[in-house]
Amino acid sequence: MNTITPTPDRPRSAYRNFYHHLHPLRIRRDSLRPAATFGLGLIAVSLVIIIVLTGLLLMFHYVPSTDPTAGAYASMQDLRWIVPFGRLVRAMHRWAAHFLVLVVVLHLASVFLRGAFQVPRRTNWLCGLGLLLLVLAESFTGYLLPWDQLAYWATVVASNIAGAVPLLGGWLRQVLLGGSDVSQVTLVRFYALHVFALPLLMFILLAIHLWRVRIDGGLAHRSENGVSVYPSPLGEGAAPAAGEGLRPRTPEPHPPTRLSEDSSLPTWPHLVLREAAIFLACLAVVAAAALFFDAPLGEPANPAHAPEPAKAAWYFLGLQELVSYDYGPLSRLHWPPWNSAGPVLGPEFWGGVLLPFLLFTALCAVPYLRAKPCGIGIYFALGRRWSCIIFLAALLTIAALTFVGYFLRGPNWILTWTW
Amino acid sequence: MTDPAPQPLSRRGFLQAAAVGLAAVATGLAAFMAARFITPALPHAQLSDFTLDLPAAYPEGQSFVPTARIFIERRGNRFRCLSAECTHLGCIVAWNAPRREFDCPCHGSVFTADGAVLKGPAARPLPVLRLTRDAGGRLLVQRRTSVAPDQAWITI
Ligand code: HEM
Ligand code: FES
Repeated sequence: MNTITPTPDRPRSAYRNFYHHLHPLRIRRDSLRPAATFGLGLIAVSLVIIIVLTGLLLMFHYVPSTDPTAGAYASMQDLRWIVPFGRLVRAMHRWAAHFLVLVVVLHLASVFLRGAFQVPRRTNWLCGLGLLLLVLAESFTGYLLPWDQLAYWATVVASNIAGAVPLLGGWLRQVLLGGSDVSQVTLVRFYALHVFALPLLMFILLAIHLWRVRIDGGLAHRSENGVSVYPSPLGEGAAPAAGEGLRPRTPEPHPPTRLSEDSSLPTWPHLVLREAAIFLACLAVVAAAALFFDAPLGEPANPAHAPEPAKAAWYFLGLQELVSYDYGPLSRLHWPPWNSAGPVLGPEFWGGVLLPFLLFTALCAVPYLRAKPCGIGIYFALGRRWSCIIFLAALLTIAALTFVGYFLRGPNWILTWTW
Repeated sequence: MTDPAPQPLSRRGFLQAAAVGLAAVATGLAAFMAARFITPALPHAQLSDFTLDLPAAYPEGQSFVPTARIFIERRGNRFRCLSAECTHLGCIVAWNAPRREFDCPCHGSVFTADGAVLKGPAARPLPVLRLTRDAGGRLLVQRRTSVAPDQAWITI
């Protein structure tokens, strides 16, 4: 009962292959250039897959308990010394997670510098920011699980930063910790978040993210500039015209399925093979990193003794820098400001809560700051040069803070020159 | 400007509004229940009171008590107790005997022997905790009850 007539435009594979739920039939030649996005989104997806698979394996051994001989710390030791390939799997999970943070930030930068956050991709920018938060939350909850000294103290510090949020802070900290201190209850809560709640949310957001890439008309492309955008089937105001359905919201005269023969290539095999290659390359890099560098494991958690210096993972060191500065007279303000008996707003509020909040709000606002899209799909487009400069300056500041935190802070968080 | 004539609410419109309203109320209720569910029931129950040793067990100067995360300072027959939890973000401070100050390893806050802030980022002094004695004469500290600095010392 084959009622489908294959055409060059819609080959038989179009009706059979699952991947067409994700991919259009044809893709612009331009979007296949490595420098179009540097494949950063695809690298991120590959790393997520590696993290999920290795994480699943780790779950077969991990015990979320503070028991020193049969709990979390002991299962880390088992992975190291007893479980076949345990060391490899743990290190792969760890390094893939670290790479993911880096890659997601670079992906965000690429999207920003290309102006790919503008109409019609605003929603996907917000969706991406949600993914960024989830990636950071996964890293943070995962950091506690080995129950070693760094894990324990990073959680003490971070939960106290959460506690510095005005009004909600106390409750937030209690809920996070399941009490007033980091304890067995905390470990179970972080475990539930890390292996179930956050991955579930991430999976949903990721599905939306990838689907939106497609219905937003594929990767941002210079040919979109100056062409009025189709009314959206799903938002940004306009209701779908009768019969329009889920047509890709491309500003081009032709939706991607009708891309001209010479400006585009069939997705199969051109895109799918590249995706496979990127995945394999990621796997190779992560496996190599895991073979050469073991995931660290410190002393077992000891609530009575903070290590010197107690450093968070590198991607939170910028934040740790910010909370370690003296904000002078600001640190003597009270909350609420008119109540001099209220709690003091220390650096944990200014650097730990307010600055990150403002930064994130600014990122959310980015697509809404300019009325007309400008330089879509063009790195450092002239019309957006100031926003690109500001963005790079902010990124470099964060990198510099991270550098100082990582290399230049010694015991008691004193600036030292380690070379 | 003329107001449009008020539209009578159709049956369909009413049912739609009612369904949306009910769904919103149900979601709100569920969110409230979930929030209560994950809020720990006994906020400050644990870790508040600690029975320590007899006063004679503490030498002259500062002693750190790991279980209670406090410092007991002894001067002759006078004792006082300071929380060892840094008021910045909760790391455990260490007593630096030569310089007579408390140093925090996490972000470098420094406190005097009385708990006052010498150097940030900490913005609040180390709390002075209430020290009493139980029936057997042992020291008893209430982790969550701080006292004014001038009532810090007890004489035994
Ligand atoms: C778990 C994290 C993330 C994953 C796995 C992911 C994955 C992807 C993939 C596979 C693409 C297709 C294009 C490409 O390969 O670059 C894409 C595009 C896109 N991403 Fe992400 N992403 C993530 C986080 C983010 C973040 C943090 C942002 C920015 C806030 C973002 C914004 C976008 C936008 C606007 C596009 C649209 C198209 C374009 O690049 O022209 N994503 N993402
Ligand atoms: S926790 Fe002591 S200085 Fe930050």
